[in-house]
Amino acid sequence: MANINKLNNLATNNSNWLEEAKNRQKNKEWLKHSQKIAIKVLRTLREKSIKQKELAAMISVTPQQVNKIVKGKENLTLETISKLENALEIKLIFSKNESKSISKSFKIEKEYVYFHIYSNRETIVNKKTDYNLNTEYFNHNCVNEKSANYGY
Amino acid sequence: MFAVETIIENSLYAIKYERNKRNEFSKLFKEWSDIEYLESFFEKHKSDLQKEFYNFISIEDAIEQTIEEADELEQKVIKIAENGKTNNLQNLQTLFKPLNKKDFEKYPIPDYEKTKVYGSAQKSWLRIYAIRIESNVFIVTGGAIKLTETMNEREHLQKELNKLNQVKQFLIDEGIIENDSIIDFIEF
Repeated sequence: MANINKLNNLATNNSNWLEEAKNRQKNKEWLKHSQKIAIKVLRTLREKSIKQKELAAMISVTPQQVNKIVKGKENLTLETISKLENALEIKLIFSKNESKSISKSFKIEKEYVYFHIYSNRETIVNKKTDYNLNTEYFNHNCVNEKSANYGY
Repeated sequence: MFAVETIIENSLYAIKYERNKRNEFSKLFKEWSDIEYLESFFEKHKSDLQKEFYNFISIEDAIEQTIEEADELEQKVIKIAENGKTNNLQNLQTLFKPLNKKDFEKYPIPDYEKTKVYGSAQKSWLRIYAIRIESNVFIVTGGAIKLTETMNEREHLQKELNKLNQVKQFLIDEGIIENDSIIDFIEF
């Protein structure tokens, strides 16, 4: 039989685990984004052989802040995210209908499609088949964009 | 050399080694939510991931999987911490299981673990090592992300086994357990 009283006398209440764990749960939603950004940034740094210190200089923040970013614990501002995107030539934020799996080449095609929406509606309707876009996706994104911009 | 910190009173305790700022339990969850730590860990052990056994999981996905699993585990422990020992169906006993001694003897993964990264019956690669000194009373001594086969697992697990044995002796010295007490080495 173990002596639990002795254990309780010996043990201190210095553990901050519960508090930290509750904070992690409370901030879970934005932490998830922060973690995904950290993964992308870290993998890019490794791929391009850029040190955290160098990145700090590139985006004019302290190395300590970069370290917080790559740990995935920083509640980043849009400004910082944009600086990271520009400095590392990567995309960190995607709009609702984009996903990280969209390849650069597809994105270029899509931007091309948007260009035509703004310039000539008929052209884009014809392009729908060319780019093999999902009709629902096309209607939702393109027509809504167009309506907003051209008052349809 | 050792200090003991309470995680859940009368139920879960963790060893704090003098050299570390945090106790082992707190340290594990901090590491398992630290992208820099995880990226570096999986980069170091990437050859272990590039196998059919792990479905050729990428480092990026391995990091995300670790975070998800740690989060699920943490939620369970929070729930238990908040419910206390009142609900017998929901205690730490349901999370921990006896340590498989085979893990310390051989490199190959036991058959029963082979489902760990597949489907809903997957078994986490996160490990928390503890000593059970009484029913539902645990003292956490360490933990790891346990990748297998080519990882230098023997050395790694030997280190964890040493920690378990050292803490057992410490508990005997402090009069918390007796020399012939029946204790279990446990892992999550």
